[in-house]
Amino acid sequence: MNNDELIELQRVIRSGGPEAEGAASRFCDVVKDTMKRILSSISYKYSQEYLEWGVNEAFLAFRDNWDPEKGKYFKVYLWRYVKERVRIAIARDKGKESSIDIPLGGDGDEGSGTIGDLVEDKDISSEDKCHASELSAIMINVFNKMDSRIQLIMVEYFSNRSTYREIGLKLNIDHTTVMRNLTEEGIKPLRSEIEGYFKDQDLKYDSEVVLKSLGNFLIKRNIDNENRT
Amino acid sequence: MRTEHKTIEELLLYLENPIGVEDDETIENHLAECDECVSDLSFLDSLRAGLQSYSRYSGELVKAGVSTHLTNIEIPGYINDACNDDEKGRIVSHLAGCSSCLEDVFTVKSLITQLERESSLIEKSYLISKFIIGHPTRIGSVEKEGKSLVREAARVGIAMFDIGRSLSFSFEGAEASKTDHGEEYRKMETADFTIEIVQPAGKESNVTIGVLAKGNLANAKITICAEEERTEIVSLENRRAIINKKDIQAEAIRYIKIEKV
Repeated sequence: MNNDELIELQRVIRSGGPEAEGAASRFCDVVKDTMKRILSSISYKYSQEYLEWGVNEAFLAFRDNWDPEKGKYFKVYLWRYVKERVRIAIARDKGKESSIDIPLGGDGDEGSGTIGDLVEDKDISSEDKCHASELSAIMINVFNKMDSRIQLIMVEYFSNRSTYREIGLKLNIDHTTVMRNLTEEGIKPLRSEIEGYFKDQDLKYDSEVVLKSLGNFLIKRNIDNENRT
Repeated sequence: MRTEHKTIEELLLYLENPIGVEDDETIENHLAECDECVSDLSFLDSLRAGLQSYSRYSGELVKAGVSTHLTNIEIPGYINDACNDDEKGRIVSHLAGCSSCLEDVFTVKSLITQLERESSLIEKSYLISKFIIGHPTRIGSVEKEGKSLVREAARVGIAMFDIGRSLSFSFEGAEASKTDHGEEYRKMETADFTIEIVQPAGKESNVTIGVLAKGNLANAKITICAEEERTEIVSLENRRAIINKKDIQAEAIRYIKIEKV
């Protein structure tokens, strides 16, 4: 089931009615295997015991929290956010038993933070917003300096969701060259500048700040450019 | 035991795969034990979402007429990375929101790549001719390549009438006109010859080709290519030869190659 199908499934579930039940059941079947792996990464011991409950957590997150408008894949939402929800919930459920294989931050301090804190795009501190803004500016410069061919590949691959093969045909180059160009000259330079930024600032890599800075980094430039025109 | 980190390619592939496919088992087993790769996956997902927002926003600017379509000068400038960062920024933001200009840029870029790889002048002229037919409003984007091809061909004795005619608005040496009497007239020069094509008014399949040698020559080998190539030896009198063809249209002549004999 691809992202577009998931979006449609979410719509059906949210609208309720007789079709919603079948849609919910389909969703649960589809995420079951991934949830098994997520659970075993949290606690192998409890993975079977919590499977049904974990699938239900994924379902609730899918129905109530996942916002496809933000353009994110539900798969990533599962690994990044639902996994955290499940991790915290199991830790709380097991309480002092404290036998969760991978402890929460600190020493299993289940009192800090709520599930609600873990939903996507939570607010970041003012200081982190400054870092995100600086990172956006850095990424604009990196993107600006890329060869036109790399920019075209980035736009076509990420924005227009074309495959390597389709892009290769358009540029009259091999699809493996497209893939290499995208990763080596498009994604890696961006990633490397971001890591360099945290290193220069003597900060720990903060993925929330990075994700925030990526959300609209090019739109800022777009506005700047049009104002200049 | 922890397996090796996943590459960007593998993570991108995982993102593209529909959820719940069996192929994902290996990568998900790794993601289960590696927060670093989950972080990389998030990075790629957010980069994709960021670029999608960028395209949507750019598209709105295009619709509102704030972001203007690319000119025929901007396209090759952008493709050849011959513009500054600000210009590049404006161009790429337009392309992100304008599928029509993006398609044109891809087509021009592909054509330039093909021209660089192709060594045969005739094949190159086919490529340019095909582009001109498909994208008549974008002729200006390949004017430089077209003109330089016509000049290069002229140096080796080939008069490229088809693309020369399309580029005649700016190409010195290629002429196409309808005379007052309604006849078609075209003229091009090669290094050693001047070639004229005349198609009398009302006679659509009847052309006269005039050849004038720039030096003293008795014979010349002439190859006329319309739908197919036809070669013949012609005698020159006072450096001139007149060739009448009854089954060719002036418009159909792609090129004429003429060599000293």
